[in-house]
Amino acid sequence: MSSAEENWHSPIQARRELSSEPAIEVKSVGKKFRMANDRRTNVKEALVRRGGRGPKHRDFWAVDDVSLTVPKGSTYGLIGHNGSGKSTLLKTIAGIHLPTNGEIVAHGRVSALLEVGAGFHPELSGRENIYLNGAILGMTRKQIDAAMDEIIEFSGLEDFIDTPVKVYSSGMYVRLGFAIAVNLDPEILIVDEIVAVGDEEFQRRCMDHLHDLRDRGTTIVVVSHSLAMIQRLCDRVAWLDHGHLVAEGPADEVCEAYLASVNAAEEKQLTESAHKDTAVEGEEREGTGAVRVTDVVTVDDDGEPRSLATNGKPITIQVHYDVHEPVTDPIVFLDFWSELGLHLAGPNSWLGGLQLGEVSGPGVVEVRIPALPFLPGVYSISAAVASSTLEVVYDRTPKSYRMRVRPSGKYEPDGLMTLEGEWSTRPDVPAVPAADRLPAAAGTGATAAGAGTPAEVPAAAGSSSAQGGVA
Amino acid sequence: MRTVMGEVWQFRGLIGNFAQRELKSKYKGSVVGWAWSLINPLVTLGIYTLVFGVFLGANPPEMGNGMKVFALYLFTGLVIWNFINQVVQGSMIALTSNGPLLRKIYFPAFAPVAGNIVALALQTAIELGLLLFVFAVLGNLYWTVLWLPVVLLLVIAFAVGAGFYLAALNARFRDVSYLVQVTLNLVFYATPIIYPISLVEQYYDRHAWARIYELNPVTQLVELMREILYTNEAPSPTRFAYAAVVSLVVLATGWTFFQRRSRDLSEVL
Repeated sequence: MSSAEENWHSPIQARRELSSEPAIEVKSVGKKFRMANDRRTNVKEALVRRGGRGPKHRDFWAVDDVSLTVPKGSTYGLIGHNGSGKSTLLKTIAGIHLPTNGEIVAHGRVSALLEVGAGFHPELSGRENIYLNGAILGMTRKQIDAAMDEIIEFSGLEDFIDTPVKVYSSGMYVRLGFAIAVNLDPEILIVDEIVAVGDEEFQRRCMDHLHDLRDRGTTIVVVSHSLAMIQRLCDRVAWLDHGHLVAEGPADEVCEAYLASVNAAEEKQLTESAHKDTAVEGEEREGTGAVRVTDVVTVDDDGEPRSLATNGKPITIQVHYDVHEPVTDPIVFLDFWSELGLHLAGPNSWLGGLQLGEVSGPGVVEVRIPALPFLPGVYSISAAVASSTLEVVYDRTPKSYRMRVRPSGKYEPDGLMTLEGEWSTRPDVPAVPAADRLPAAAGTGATAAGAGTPAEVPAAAGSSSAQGGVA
Repeated sequence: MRTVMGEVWQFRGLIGNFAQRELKSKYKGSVVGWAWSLINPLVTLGIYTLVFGVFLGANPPEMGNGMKVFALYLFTGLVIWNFINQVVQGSMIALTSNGPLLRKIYFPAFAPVAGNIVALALQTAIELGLLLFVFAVLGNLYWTVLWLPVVLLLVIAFAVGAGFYLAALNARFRDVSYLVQVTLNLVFYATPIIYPISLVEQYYDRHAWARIYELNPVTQLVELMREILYTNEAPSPTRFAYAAVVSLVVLATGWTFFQRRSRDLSEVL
């Protein structure tokens, strides 16, 4: 388990040598569906419509001429927006759908985990369901018996394993389902968006286990909308769009290309819907009104309005104002709030070293942020103008503006901000012995001694501190 | 046929698990539990005996030992009928109710249907055991009982073939299950279960067309059972040959049809 944990902690997977042997070959596969609204589900319709007036059905190619090879032992990701055909392709690989065109060759036993807990019978106990589910996944009773203890331990349901699953909570249900699928030692594991289950600790164990399987040479094919997860887990990625294969290659490259395309599309859509979106009904406005904030706009380095800011990239925030009674040296304040209402930062023009002098009439003040530290998400902005002594607030627009931040390439998946820094090893500095400065906790020895490894601090800090994961 | 057996054998574990699920979950939460599987047919038997045997005074043929017991005459046929009836209806339910599962996990679609049949076969075996026990007590077990496995195989072949065929058809057209319910009702009365076949046979001389009655394969299977267990005769050759041919053809057709359809099942279920 310890090796898996290290994997989890390292944000970027070292690129692995992949076997040239294929585990799954997808050869120009196409899958056609007939649109369901035209399906004749009763005999009368079938007889009446036999003559066939008009089109009987509409064909829809969910997957069209896709060819790819999943190398043995690799972790392979499928990405694409909703309806891109990735789940259909996954089901075809799993054998649930028969391809309309082409063929799929799988070298090894395929275990599909398209929905955890599918096939549980509510009246049967957890243990009985393990046998049933295992058999459905293609295991013999002997193999299930061998894995039984591990499954029960992994699911953490020791006390409930002989109770009918109908009394399980949905979390328990899902934990059992996941435990079965991954502990039955699959040769090829097919996973559809599963990691969003259970509590944080269980999610971590799932990821650990996937890494474990990966290290043992299990081929894993995974669909997920979480690019961060795909990048962390996968060796290679295929990007599908409307059933067509757009790109296929090393995970980082394909994910970045995909992200760039998604961002471009989103930007286009957002600029079309104008930036009215960025001004919202905030909290009650206050101030004397001598100076009024008229707008807050985000622009790029060319001065073009941008409805989207990019994490790690420069962005300029302009505060537009109008002066009703001339004032001297007013200070412009900006405040940034996270979606959860956390006050993240509050820069102002005075701290920034900007003297405005005597102001009258409309004007614009801007601040350029060379590398936006905020992680992808939506942020509220408050703008305020106050007198140089801070005694008089001319105008305050609390949380009245919004800024969307999108991802760019790699970023820390958790937390609120990127923390830029330069990492290096220091062989010349003697390492402090374990537990010298911190109260001893179980298992901290290894972590503290590992000063040479780039120990990432995961967001799961709260839960992982118990395991000594935080240096 | 070889490949069929091979495939069924390969997935025996899965079939067994489905059968277990069926049996275990069936009477979970009920107080009497398994007793229901006997109470049900016995109550039916009681009602039929009362109505047809006592009130309407049905006159069953003599048993091999010379006794006349309408309840036993009835039960010999009813056991077979119940099995066929339940397999046909249960197969359709087994397939459609496992639709969500078939859309999520790849496994052969015949497994839940076969599992259901295995579960029903076990239940029928209990009823049959009870019947044989009573015959033994009454001293009505003769060498003809040796035919029982062969006749049962024909019954199973017929039921399984029909069950698979209709299950696959019902996946496509959901009204099949309603149609089948109505038809089974008809077939029940078109089969000499609650009345002796002699009631119909008396019309054969006057109305030649009435002989189509004999074409009903269930009639032949029920009568075969009566011959070897109730009246203790060797099966009549024409009856046996007809039942064997029909049963095997139904089995082959049903299985082939089901397999041909099974790859599309994940889309239509």
